[in-house]
Amino acid sequence: MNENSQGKSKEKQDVKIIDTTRQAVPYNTANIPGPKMARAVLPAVPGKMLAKSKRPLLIVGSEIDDPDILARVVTLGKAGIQIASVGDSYKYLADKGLDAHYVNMHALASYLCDPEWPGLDGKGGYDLVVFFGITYYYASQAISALKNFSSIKVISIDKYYHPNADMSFGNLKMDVFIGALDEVIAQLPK
Amino acid sequence: MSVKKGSFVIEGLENVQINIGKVGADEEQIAEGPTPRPEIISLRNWDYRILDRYNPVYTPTSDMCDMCTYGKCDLTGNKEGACGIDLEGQSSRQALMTSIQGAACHSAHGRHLLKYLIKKYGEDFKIDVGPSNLQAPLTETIMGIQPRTIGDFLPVLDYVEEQLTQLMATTNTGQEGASRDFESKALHAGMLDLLGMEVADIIQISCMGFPKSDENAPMAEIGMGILDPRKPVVVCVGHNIAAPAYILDNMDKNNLFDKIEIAGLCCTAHDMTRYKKNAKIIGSMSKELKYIRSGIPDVLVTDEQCVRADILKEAQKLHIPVIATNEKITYGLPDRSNDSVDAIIDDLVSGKQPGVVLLDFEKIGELVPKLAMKIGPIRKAKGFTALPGDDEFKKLVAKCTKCLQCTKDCPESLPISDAMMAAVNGNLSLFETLHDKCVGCGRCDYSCPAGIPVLNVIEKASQRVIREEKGKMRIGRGQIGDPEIREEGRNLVLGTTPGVLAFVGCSNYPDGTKDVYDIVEEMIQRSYIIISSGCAAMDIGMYKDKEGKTLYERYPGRFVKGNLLNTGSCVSNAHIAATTIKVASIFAGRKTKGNWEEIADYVMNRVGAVGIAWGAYSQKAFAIGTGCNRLGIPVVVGPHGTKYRRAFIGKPYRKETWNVLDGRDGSVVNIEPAPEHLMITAETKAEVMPLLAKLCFRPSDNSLGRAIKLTHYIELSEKYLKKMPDDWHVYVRNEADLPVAKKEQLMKLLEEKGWKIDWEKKKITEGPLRKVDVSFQPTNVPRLCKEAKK
Repeated sequence: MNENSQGKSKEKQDVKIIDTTRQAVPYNTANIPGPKMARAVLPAVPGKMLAKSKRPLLIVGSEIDDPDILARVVTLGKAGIQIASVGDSYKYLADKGLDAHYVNMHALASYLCDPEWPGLDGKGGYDLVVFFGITYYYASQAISALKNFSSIKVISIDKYYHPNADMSFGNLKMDVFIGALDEVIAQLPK
Repeated sequence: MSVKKGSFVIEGLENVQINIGKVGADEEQIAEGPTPRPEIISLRNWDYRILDRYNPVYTPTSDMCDMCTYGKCDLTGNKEGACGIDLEGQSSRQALMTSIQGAACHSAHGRHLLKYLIKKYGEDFKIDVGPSNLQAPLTETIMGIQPRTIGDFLPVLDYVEEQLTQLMATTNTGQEGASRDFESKALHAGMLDLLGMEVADIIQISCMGFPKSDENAPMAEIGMGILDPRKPVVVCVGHNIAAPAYILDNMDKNNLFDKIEIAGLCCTAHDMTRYKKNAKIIGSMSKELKYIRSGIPDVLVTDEQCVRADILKEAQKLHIPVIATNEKITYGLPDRSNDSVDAIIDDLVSGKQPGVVLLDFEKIGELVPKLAMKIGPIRKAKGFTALPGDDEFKKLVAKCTKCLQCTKDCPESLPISDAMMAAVNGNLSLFETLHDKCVGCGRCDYSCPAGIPVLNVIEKASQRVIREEKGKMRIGRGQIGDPEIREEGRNLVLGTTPGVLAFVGCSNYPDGTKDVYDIVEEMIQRSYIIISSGCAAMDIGMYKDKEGKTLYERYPGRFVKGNLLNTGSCVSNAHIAATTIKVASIFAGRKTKGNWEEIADYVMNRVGAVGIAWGAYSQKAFAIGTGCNRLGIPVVVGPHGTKYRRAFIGKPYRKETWNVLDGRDGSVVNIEPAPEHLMITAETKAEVMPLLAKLCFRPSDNSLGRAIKLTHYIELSEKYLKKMPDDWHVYVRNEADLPVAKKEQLMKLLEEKGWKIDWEKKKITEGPLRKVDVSFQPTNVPRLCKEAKK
């Protein structure tokens, strides 16, 4: 195989990896909330929205222990995105020098619905919530509060399709998921 | 002329009191508070106080309503449906209906037992729950009466049933529409649930010889590996002891305990061991399907609650006759209550009928052991089991295509296909791990496109660990006795015992039963008082330390710090809630009768008790939690608890919601958020432990108590979340509140936060929200302030 054909093959592979709109059905089969379900999006969409957002919040949970996933959380944090560390995820972020704050996910859902919440750092509320790495059903329930009782935009960049988000990836295999996170990160200002 | 029940005095005969009906009013029967027998809005002001601080948070599982023929209505984004209800209203209505279902279940259980026990022992049978003057704390606080006999509970259940009917009526389309009032009604239903449970457990303790506040109650064997499958095996499933008691009596009378194994699944098991020491416990509801499919049971006896809907279908496949002993669960089976025992046995052994409804307890007692002796050898000879043989097992695991559909349908999203792949290579360890984490629901069986009976495969692969599954549980002791409250009440209210943690509820754990054991072990080593009940109490006893001892064998069962208590079955949860009433009454001298608001206010501000239902699944668990909330007790639920769709979460940043009154003069005091939440979930066991410690803070803590609580909060957060809690300083009122071992370090941190420290005197001079005042009388109820009383 020459270098050129190797490059084409890689390109094809890359296209396949970042198609995050397939399998856009609730990960837990019966988790069908109603007529409004998340729009399946490519990674560039949440990436650009994160880049444009004035006050985004990344929420991560107990499923970020995988080194590949953790590395992406750290990269997103280093890009200046504040992190709400829910569940026991803070233990993975403690020494990473990030703007990460422990908060209970259920309480966070409640606070995000309150326009008077001063935010995790006292500097005000958020205009965009992006999340991944949280126990599937737990995240799904918590964001159902945001979907129905707040005006905040919520995007899932998890490996599961989250119907209660405004936008979501479909159900992804691990390698596709990691590739998708990289594609999100690629949209952020360097 | 009609004569009403009661007592009266005839003019001129003042020394003669004439009583008509059951009991004349005496001092002990006079309500001391303003709300005896509260109606559905009598305690609304108290509920509003709760709701103003702990805002309901709704997490709908469905954005639609399909309760009436206007619908389905799309309520997404809190839109209104055709009847005018919005999603907030609908979600709160669901919270109410869930509470009603739970309360109805427990109180109907109580009613069934009360009818039976009155028939057997008479209305005048004295209640006796052990060394206690306050024998029925919830009944006194809610009803305003002090029951003395089991017959005294008749009007109590009449009241519960009437109130539940009123509440249920409000859920009809075109009735209540305000979420705030749905929640007040849900709190009312939760309170009724506690009352129904108290009746059920007090009468069975009194009449059936259960342990009475016995801190040294004996141990019972527990686990899927405890029964000898070579003997005929009887398994009772559910919550109601009435029928199993007759079986146990018959076996006792005929010396059958050496010949027949008898054990229970779910709370019936608790009460069987409280009734007869020979009974054993297989485990929680999550073991039902697993144990039935093992084929070991020769007879299944069902009563009520937490009985799988498919038991008959599953049992029929393995020729296990089902004896349905309670009218609430009859499975379409014929009622053979009027037939002869031998005729019924013939039909069951021959397979002519897969099961029967049998409501005559005497017949049940006679039939079940006989049936087990007859059908047991036949079944064992035929080797009935749903589990695959070794060769079939290999073929089945090889069929897995790793499509992950089973994982998607699994409530715990278990990595089943990984275990299948490992098993293909002869490694069963992944399946053995899954066995503990699996809640035994069987949804995976339906989801597998390759037709693999997944649960059977998991269980087949786990036979080694199942054989070793043998634990010990101290049987249900019932109430906490008055002497124990006298001894411990002060420590609790001042905070020098860091808290009471009540491990209750079901087995829908997010990551296996071992979590409960791990949490209890951590917290008991920190001197929290651990009270348990129901399936949680069972699961705590399932694991052993390196020396082969369970937690029940390692820690005594008295109501003092660092002890582990098991109150008993699901209905004994009432005693856990009632313990806080006892503290208010016995330690603080608060009047109880008809005085819910004052007692709940006391509990919320002074008693550091927290409930944890880590695996809650049922409507009953939600009702119990909601009842505890109305009594001022915070409750934490596992992550599945978000599917209950409603929580009560405090907002620490809204300072105005954390005002209380000082009962001495009615002045307003802004306090730290304590307790911060009334009902909340956590994602993992690592997260829940610091949360539990935090929810034990109370405004009344003295400095020593606050320092102890703060120590545990900080240490648990550092140990499990690798950080100091962000809000630890909020709970510091002066330097004496700081943990001694870290005092200087913490004062430096406070200085960094802008607090002023006098380093010479080692004193905090500026910064805390409020000062410590040992005489502070925190209350949320204006009428309880002395100024108001004047």
